[in-house]
Amino acid sequence: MAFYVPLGPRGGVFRLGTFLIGIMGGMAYRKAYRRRESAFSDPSLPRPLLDALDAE
Amino acid sequence: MKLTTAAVQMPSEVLGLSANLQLADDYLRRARDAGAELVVLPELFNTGYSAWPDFGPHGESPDGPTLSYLRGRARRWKMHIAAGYVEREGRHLYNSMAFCSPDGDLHVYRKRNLVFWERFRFHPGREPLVVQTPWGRVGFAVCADMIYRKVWKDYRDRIDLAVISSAWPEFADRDSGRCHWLLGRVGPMCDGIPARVAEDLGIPVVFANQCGETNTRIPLLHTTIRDRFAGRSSICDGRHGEPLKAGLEPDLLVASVTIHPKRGMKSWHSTSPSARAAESSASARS
Repeated sequence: MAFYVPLGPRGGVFRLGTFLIGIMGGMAYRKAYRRRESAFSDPSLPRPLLDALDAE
Repeated sequence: MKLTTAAVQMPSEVLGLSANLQLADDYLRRARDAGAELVVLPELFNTGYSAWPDFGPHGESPDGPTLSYLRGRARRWKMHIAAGYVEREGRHLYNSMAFCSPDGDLHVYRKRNLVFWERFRFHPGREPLVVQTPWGRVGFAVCADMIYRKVWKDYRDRIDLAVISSAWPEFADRDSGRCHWLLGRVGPMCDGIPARVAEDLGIPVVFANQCGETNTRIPLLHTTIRDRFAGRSSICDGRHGEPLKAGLEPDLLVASVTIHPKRGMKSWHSTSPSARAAESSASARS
């Protein structure tokens, strides 16, 4: 994909690196994705903090 | 019309949700006191930005504590808030930006261009997001999105203001200042890209970056840079005047920007010489 700003010769290395990371990262992500449960609960915050954040 | 905007440049503690929300709340309060109608927080401001092994337990649905808090603040303080967070939808995790409106609306943009370790942890978004507000159309980008031409091509003539939420590193050793051989020049670019977008698209750009220490991990190169975030958040008022910029330290930028409500094809037709030429040749053909 073309860059909005010129990155010079490093742009080519960046592009190649991003492409390879895309493949490897995608495989690693799929693995983690399969291990993860589809049902989940949101993180929680302590009650006093919720009250503080809710205060005017 | 004029719109008062704010960019929050803050450090985030890794997985320190409580501390990060408290800090963000201080900045939001200050922005409200300064009359801000739109406030932008950095990428992953609530979890911190780091190659954590699994963001799964820290990802949030729209009912999670971060979005509930932001929606509440947006409603109560009558401002629009854009902020980066880890979104979870079923098994998928996204590096996302929430946009909360005073009327309770929530829109979510998912980062499309994942770089370095992010691709190992997140699923990429597929679509640009344009949100209509009472003061104009807003387009969104998260960090590395802004270096790709397609992102701005997608938004050209479709938005009246751009919001960029970021955790952009310096790519330089924070102690010695020595730049990384490959990416050392990329760090300072976060200073110039929002200004270039503002000039090129002729729209205001609000850019909020993280600051503080980090370790940048680059897969394949097996490199970890004892880095820091590049800061340099900015508010650029389209083609009007000089951008307001932050340094490397925590900061709150507040500035008024100019929204052109008739921007888009109509105004483009009336201002662009090439458009006028195309229009006249089209009418000659007919």
